[in-house]
Formats: sequence, C-alpha cells, structure tokens
Amino acid sequence: MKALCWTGINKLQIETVDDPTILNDHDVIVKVLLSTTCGSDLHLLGGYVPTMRAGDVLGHEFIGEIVERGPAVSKHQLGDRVVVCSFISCGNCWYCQNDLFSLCDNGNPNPGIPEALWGQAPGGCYGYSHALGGFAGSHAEYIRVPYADIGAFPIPDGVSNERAVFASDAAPTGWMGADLAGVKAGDTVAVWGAGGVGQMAARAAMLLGAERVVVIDRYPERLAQVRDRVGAETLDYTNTEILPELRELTGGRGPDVCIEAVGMEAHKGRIDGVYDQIKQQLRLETDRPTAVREAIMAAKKGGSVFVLGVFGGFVDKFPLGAVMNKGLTLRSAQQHGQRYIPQLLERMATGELQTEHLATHTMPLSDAPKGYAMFKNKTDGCVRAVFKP
Amino acid sequence: MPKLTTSALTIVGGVAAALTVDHLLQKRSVQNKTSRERWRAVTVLASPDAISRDEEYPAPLQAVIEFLDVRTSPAPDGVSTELRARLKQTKSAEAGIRKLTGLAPESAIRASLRDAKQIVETGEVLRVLPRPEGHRPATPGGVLVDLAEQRAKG
Repeated sequence: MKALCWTGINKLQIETVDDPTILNDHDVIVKVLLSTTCGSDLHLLGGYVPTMRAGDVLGHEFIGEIVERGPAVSKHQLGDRVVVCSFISCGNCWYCQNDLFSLCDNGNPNPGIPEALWGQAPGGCYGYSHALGGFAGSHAEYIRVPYADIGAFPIPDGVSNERAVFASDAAPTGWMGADLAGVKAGDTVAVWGAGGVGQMAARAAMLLGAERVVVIDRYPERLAQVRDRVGAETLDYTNTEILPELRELTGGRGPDVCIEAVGMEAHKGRIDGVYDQIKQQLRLETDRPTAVREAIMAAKKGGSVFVLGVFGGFVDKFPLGAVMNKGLTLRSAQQHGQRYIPQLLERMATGELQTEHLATHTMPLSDAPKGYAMFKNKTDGCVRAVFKP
Repeated sequence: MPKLTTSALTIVGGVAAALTVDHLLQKRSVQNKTSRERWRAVTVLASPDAISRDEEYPAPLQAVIEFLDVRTSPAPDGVSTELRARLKQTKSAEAGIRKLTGLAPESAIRASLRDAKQIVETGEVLRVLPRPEGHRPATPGGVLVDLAEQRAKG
C-alpha cells in the first residue's frame, strides 16, 4: 500500500509499504477514508521528538471503514464506518477504568523509552514516534487498530466524513481541556492558539457554559474562523498586548480558565520568544513555552491553567512562583478521547459541534508532502490539510 | 571586591558544597541496595487469585519463575494487586535468566512483569511488529532508535 513516511528532519515521502495485518485478537484493520494533519505532527516533522525513525508512517487523526477484524472484537462489524481515537488504550487497566485513557498501562509496547524521559509511560499513539509505541500511522491506505472495541466508534448516519474525522483527536482534545480545567457557567476562558485544537477548546468552553471565550493567535484566517464558525472573541497578539487586554476584558481579574493549545514550538515576536528560539536551537531547552508562561501570568488568582499543547522535554523560565502564589491549578494530559468521543459524535449529529471548516485543504494522499508544507508554513490560509488515500 | 559581594559568593559556595555532599551521601545510601536486591513491581487491576492460579503465573512470568522470587500483595486501593519479582540471590539465577531471555536480568524481570500484567488485564500481550514501514536507512540516529526499541520493555 501507499503511505506517507517521515524520512528525516523536514523530509516526507510517499512510499510503498507492507499492508498491516491482524497481530492481536482485539485488532481490526481499517481502510482509511480521511486522515488529517495535526499541529503536533510538526514537532515530529521538525525533529523535536528524537525517537522518530526514517521510514515511520505519520498520521494519528483519522476515520475509516473496518475491512478485517480479530476474533476478540465484539462491537464492530465489517463495513462499519468508524472514527478511531488517536490514543491506544486497553480499556481494562486502572487508568482506563478511571477515564484516564491516554495514561493506559498497556497501550504502549515501548514503555521503557518514555519512562527514561518522563518517569512513567503514557499509552500508545498512532504515527507518533517510538516513544509512544512505534505504531504505524494513518496517512496510509490501511491501518491496524488495536483494542478496537475500546478505541473505535461508529459514526452516526448523517455525520459527514469531513466532520467526523476531527472526533478522532482535535475535538476530544479541546473538549478535555475545557472539561478538566473546570470550565463552568459564568466563566471567562482564554485560549492560546486558534488551530484545530484551540478552536475545539473554545467551542467546548462555550457549550460548557462559559460566559465569555477569547482566543489568541496571529493568523487572520484562523481568527476569522473562531469568530465566524466557533462564535468566540479573538485577540491578535501581533497588534495588542495580551496581558493588559485580558485584564481589561475581565475587570482586572484575569480569565478564570486559561487553555494553552500551542505546544513546544510557540512563536512570539517579543524578547521572550526570541530568547526561547535561541535556547531551543542551542538545545539548552527542548521546548518553547512562551504561550504557557503567558497563560499562567494571565490567569486570575485561584484560576486554572490547562496545557493542551504537546511538550516533550524541558523548558526554561517557567513561572512557578506565579503558579504557587496565585494559587493556580495547573493540569495537562494527552487526550482521553475514549471518554469524550461518544458524546462528541452525538453533538456532531445534532449540529451543536461543527468541525468541517477546519479541513481547509483536502487532497489525495499522494499530495501529502505538499499538504504538510502548506500546513507547516500556513500558506493559502491552511488550517488543516486532510488526505484521502 | 565589595564586602557584600564576597559574602554573597561565600554563601553561594557554601550552599553548593552542602548540596554536593548531600547528593553524594544520598547516592551512597541508594547504592546500599544493589540492583540485584531490588524488587521490580507492577500493579495489576485484578485480585491476587486472578494473577496466580494454583501457583501458576501468566506465561511470560512463569517462563522465568525458576530464577525469581515472586510476591503478590493487595494494593492500597483495595482492588488491585502489587506483583513483585526479584532475582533469586544465587549466581546461577543471573546466568540462567540471561541465557534463557538474552536480556540483562533487570530487563528480563521488568519485561516479564509487564507482559504478565497485560495478560491478566487484557488477555494478551500487545504486539507492534511487523508493522508497515518505509525504507529504513542505517543512520546513526536510526540505529539508536532501533536499539532503544529493542530494549524498551525492560
């Protein structure tokens, strides 16, 4: 089959690879219908995640049709149209039983690698380096899905492929950020990053009852999507000072909840952004936490900050003093998608949650290297490039 | 040099020296327990009966059981079980487990515990190979990733 392979830093290539096979009884093989780029892929592409191997198949956010199933699979039939959670979780360990699916004890066959990096291992993830299991990704014609009864969900009739594909990762990730940050009625919520995950976090905050939601970014087309498709307010950090602006918007208090949806390659024109760029290039810090710092400084006393953006290692000048002295609650996680996907599909079916506008560029899988270039450089207003194998 | 600066440097130097001594003492204390003596453990979401039936453990652990001391005890949550293993304190145990598994004893113990836990919790050991993959050039970075993956269970 054809698949998009990472072949080195900022190098991608369509290659012919072996078809996946059933390896465990709980596996299914899915014929991929749509597979989307994700901002976190850019960290892999750019070499910021050191456990990538030339030849790895990328992609973790996808939908497809079940074409083969293992003998232990009971919830799915051949021909089912399913959305698959990007994180691989067994459903039976303590973490899965407590709705912390991305922390699954059994979903990552390479636990020693993340244990060396982080002390403990999260679950596995498709197409997301050997630290997260070394699973082949979804930018391919077919993909093997382990623990299919736990991680694959039937797509309701009437929900389009273009809407459903974002139930795999962007929508549950955003929803989790708003939910676990404790958004409640009357809150003011600020979201850093107007990509797919940031937009979904903003929409989730609104549906969870937030009184006011403000999204911060610098790309006009993304900020326009936030206003027109999500219904939240926007701030462009290139033409306004974010901290005083947020204080002014909130009567001097600061947002109740701050959600960071940017990750380790944050951009910022100011001195702190330049500082982080230099330190990261010199490998004196692995990640650029510019947006996290700002979220912490912006949050109201006693408020909460949720880090949704992907970080892999170490950061510098982390404002721990602000966290402590303002009494903030700081949380983070890879997405516990299995916890949220069923209700998100229902919301998609009713039209309450719309996502298809994120797919600004849909193209054949053969054009995926071009799609990633557009996505990385944000050319032609690209929010997400989505591939049709 | 101003007196204040000298005092500050003295304080900083003193603190650094104290931290170094403390670190070395802690290191010595940690080294008192050898790797061979240490118990490796996993917590399994199951009762002790589900882990060991008629003194028979799941196959990955049973395969190396002759070289190990194994214990189970209830976890504090009242539902899970802590499953522990360490190498028997004999020379033949180390050589035997190395010969059987091809792994260092610590790695072999960790891998057998993880796999035993998976079998109890999910019924099988999750596999990832063979997987679809493109051309794998033998770059230095790639070789390191391959080595890391080969040892990633231990």
